[in-house]
Amino acid sequence: MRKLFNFLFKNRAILLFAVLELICGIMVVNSRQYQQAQYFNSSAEVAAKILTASQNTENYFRLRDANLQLAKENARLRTLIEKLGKNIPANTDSTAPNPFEFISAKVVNNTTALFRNFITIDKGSRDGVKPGMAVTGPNGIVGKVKAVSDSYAVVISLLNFDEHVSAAISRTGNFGTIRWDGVSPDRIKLLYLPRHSSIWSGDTVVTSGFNAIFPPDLPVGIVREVQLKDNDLFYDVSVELSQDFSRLQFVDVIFSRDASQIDSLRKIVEKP
Amino acid sequence: MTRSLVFIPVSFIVFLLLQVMLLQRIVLFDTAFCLAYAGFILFAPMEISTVVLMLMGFGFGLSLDLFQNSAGVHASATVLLAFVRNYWLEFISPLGGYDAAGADSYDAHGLVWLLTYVAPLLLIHHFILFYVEAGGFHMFWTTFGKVFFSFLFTLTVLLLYRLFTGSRR
Repeated sequence: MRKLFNFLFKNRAILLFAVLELICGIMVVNSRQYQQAQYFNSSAEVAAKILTASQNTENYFRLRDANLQLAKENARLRTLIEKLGKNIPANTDSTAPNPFEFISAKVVNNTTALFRNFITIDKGSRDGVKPGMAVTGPNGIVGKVKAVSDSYAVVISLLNFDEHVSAAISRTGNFGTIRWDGVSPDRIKLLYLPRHSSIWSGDTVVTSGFNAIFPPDLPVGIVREVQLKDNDLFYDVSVELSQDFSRLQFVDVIFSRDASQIDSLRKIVEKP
Repeated sequence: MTRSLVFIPVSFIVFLLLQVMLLQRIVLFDTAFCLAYAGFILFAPMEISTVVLMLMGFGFGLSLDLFQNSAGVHASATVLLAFVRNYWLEFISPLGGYDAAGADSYDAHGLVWLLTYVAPLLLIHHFILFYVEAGGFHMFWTTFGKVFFSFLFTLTVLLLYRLFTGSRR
């Protein structure tokens, strides 16, 4: 027994090293699984407050940029209203609740150069934000809420290996999945688009609305490169993101009224 | 020892706040990160034992992970850095050993010694950090670019920091 203790004491450095690295490894693996988001994160009150303090200074220098972005978004929305104004269906039920609601939030922290990027925003469970909600920027979708605290939330950015969103080519309605490949923060890949579908460089990619989290037809980006090798089942599509993630200052969290109903229906259907 | 008791918590907070509020936001060309927080372990007093140093590294790494939502990534790299540091210090000890001055003696042996001390440790730290973040070697060259350019960036910043603030006797 004494020998054992002696051995442990003699090698305490390497043993502690092994234990600590094991703990780190377990944390790394677990935190990357979407369901197990309960690790401490930057939505923690103290961390988020510190990040807010430094972001505020930065925001001050980027006011001009923020103004320009908002003006552009205004213009885009006005054009949309003009377009829609002419063909709103006559029998719209005005009492039907809007299936999606938007909560505006300020970006407190944002990275784009890592392989797994996250965005911290200043709205939390107190404002009705829940994990799983969709987040969109002024020009296109941004990601999904991963974890919330009382007044902050962490959003898993589209620029993250672990994030998948269902998207469609707006011209044809063919759909696939978008996932970042980690190369450039303004390009994303559209995966699983079958080879029989038609796709051109310049096509617009939008959310498909299949997952009940994102409303359909939100802008994602524009197709820039299309490749199809002889043996491939799917296209290799590179999409230019319409949202510039490095300039993200304000985002909207999308609250979907129907998400819980659709989810429970799906669960019933999928039960054997 | 009493010196360390004050020095460690203070430098913990200073390095952490500096990293989170300033350095983390500076990324050159989407590849070069400034991870100067490694200085917390690298320039901790020489007499600290490996066990204590690893616990310090673990605590610091996890605190930083909290801000980056990267549970365990920074911690794994800082723990390794802390584990290797004292062995490396011993290995490159100048003839006659280090003087008993403790914390301040990093600047006593000249720039070449400082470079041989800092550079390999920093490279190991960056290597582990970026490949753990990438989750493997499948993006080998992109990740390697990040390792290399961040290494140059951090090394420059740390040496400048040492040149301007390092106390001399």
